[in-house]
Amino acid sequence: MNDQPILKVDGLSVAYGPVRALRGVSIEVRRGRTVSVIGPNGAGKSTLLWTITGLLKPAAGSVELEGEVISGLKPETIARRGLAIVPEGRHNFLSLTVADNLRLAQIAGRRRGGDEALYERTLDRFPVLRDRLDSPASQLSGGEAQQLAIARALLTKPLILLLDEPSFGLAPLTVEGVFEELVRLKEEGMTVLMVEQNAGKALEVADDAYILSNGEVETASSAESLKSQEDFDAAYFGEGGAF
Amino acid sequence: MLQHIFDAAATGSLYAVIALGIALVFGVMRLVNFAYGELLMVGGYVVLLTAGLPWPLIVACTLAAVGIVAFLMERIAFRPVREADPTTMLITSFAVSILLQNIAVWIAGRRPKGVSFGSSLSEPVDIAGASVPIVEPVTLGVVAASLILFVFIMRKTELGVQMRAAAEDFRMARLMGVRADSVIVAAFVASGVLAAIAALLLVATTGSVSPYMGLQPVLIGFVATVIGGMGSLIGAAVGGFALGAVTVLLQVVLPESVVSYRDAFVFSFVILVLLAWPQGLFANRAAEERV
Amino acid sequence: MADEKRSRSVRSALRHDGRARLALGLVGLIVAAELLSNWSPAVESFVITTLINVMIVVGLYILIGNSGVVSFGQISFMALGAYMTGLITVEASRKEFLLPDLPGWLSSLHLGTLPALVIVVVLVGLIAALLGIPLMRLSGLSASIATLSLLIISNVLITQSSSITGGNQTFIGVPVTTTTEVALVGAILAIFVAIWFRRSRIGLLLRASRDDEPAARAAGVSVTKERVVAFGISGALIGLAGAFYAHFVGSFSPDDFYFEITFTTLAMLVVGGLYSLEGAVVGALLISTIQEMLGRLENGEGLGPIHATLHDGVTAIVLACIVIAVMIFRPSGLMGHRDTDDEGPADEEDRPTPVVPADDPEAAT
Repeated sequence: MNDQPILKVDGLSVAYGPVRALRGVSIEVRRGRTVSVIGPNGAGKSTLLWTITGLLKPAAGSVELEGEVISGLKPETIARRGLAIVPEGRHNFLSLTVADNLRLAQIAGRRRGGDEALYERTLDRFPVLRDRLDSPASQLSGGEAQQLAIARALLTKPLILLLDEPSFGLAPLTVEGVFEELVRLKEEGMTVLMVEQNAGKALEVADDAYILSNGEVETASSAESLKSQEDFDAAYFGEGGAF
Repeated sequence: MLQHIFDAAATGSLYAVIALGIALVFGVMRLVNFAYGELLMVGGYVVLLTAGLPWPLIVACTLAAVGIVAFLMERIAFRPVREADPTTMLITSFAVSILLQNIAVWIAGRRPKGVSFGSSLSEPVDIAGASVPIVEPVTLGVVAASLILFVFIMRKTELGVQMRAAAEDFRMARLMGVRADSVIVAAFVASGVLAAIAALLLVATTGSVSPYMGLQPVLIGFVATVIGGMGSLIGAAVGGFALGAVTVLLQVVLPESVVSYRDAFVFSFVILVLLAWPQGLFANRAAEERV
Repeated sequence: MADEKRSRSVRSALRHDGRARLALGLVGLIVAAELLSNWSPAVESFVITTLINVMIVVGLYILIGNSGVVSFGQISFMALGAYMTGLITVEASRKEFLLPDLPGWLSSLHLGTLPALVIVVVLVGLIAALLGIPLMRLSGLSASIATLSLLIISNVLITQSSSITGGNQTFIGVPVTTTTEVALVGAILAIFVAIWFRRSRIGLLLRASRDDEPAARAAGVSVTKERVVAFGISGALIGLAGAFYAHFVGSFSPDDFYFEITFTTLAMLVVGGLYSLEGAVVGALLISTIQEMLGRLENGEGLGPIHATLHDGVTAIVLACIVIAVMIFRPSGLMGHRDTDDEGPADEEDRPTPVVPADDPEAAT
């Protein structure tokens, strides 16, 4: 095992017109770790994820996946290199059946060595989906839809899984389930980068954490120490609007 | 009466094919392609040029040529403006339309030319007591077969699944590794093939081609896709069929003096539909959250 | 503080500079038009055509440049203006002969050019504003398709109402009163109306909404109302241009006001720059000139020493290629967002390109 991080974001700056959304953000995600980026609304968390996926072009800085620069590549190329995202609001293809949603992911996964066994394992993980393969994705409940979104991401056999606000818009009980799923993924060795407003939950599962505020990394440390730190409260609740 | 129903069904299914071609490209890249009509026109002229050949060769040449023109159109004119706003794309497609029209003027002149393709199809045939030109049942058959093939490709093949996904949420599709280029090229080529089919049927029905023959069909296609919900493939096809059928039936039902105003009614209806869903039809995906 | 002061003085200097450029530009336009018109009747007719094009394109700019709503339907108002002035100014006896089914009061109506122009501006402006009330509730592609529908509807109405318009027949006998001077007055009037409108509160609000419609709506700017005003003014000017056109050519037919001129005038605006008044004028001058030169070659009239004969269709091909090239390489047009007398120094030009995920531009709301 080398010590190279799976994902390395270095000095990333992004601007929307005159507004700078990210300023010199650097983060690292090592193999098998779960990293949370927390921060109030508008801190630049989603911008960070979008830039990593290639949907936004950085004004400065770089993103590396397993040591290779991916910033500037097309989103589909980055996805094919092994970066999967579960976006906020899930964005399943509602007009497609559950099976077709999964099939789409399989097309991407096959190139990375995903096979029938992976498909079966994924369906075993989410038995609800197996029962509903032929229904349109639009008919799933919030929790089921989140499961489909995660299943879809896993089927691409990713090197790293990006999660954008996984608890957003879900009932509390469902949120519980999502985070249980995250713990399970972590135990299986999946590398995860998560952006989440629900800081308590996010820190519970995370190994490392970054606090993003006004487009800059305010604090980077282990999740453990962050939970006990005072400046966490200051940085987080001080901004207001998070809860 | 049965005769009118045949007329209506034939026109409706022709319009359905035309509308589908427009909706297909709109779905994946939000482009309202004015130049779609010129794909039909190119198809018409290919039929004219190959008129001496056996008909299967004519059909093959038309499908291939229009597919290639559609491919080139995407490559040369639309790919560079793909990331621009819809207005830029709309104006570009307007310009491409004028360009192709006038290339036809340059090569073949402004005047309509007669084509003998499928002239034997205009002979009447007796179906359940109604006398209809053979071209009508042929149109129905061809359209039905094309649509079945189209639906099969969209449902069963990997490319089809990718295209449907891209039509619904282009960015998310890319985030799942669907290549934007391939999907858009596929959509253009498919819309070219649909245009070629429509051109063959149209030329067989009217027996003439002209540089401006694409205008009427493309307007029909716009109306149908607007009525059927822009971006929805099934909606567009149904909208096209309904429009075609209704136009023909109005022709029969309405008095002569009103019929001449038909298009004014049709396009007023378009404006009303747009007003009733000001955000709706065009922006059905934009209303959702961002990725 | 010091910085602000300096930037203000820079601004006012630029404004003066802008005024000087405007004055220089207008003087240049007048001198060039007069000199060229005395050259030969053919050149004079080119000058007048060009000036009418300037009017139309500036009219388009008032709506499109300020609000960002791309209308394909403004040429309907040109048609309306042309037919209206025709019906007013053609002698009663000729009307009886040409349009025997005309309603009595219209048939006996006969006024001079000037009152006719006033009536055209007022009526067409009102009609445009009324049509704008529903149409301008739409944005983006919906607005473009709806205004395109308007163009088609107006063409159907003109060709089918043959008792009033003569239908597909050429409408003849309109007194030829548009001289170079008249056309110059029209073009300059249009430019001043555009400057005034751009500086007006409504113009400012519209431009704010153009750049960020949801934000403008959120800030309480009811964009619809402002757009209706722009639509009306644009319609009135283009209607006037239509009347000028009618009094220039003397006879016209419905096809003169359909897709072809819609495309060429839009091309002029696009090439100059959709959001720039200077661009509208430059685009109109440039494209009209190219069109004239190629057109002459196409007709075999030759161009000075050049006697090559171009094939029919070449002019439109060149025009279409220019538009496509501009869209690909310089979508903001030759003049970018620059404006001669703009108060803010080219602020729009300096703005960094927004980096928004570009695959689905509509989703950027």
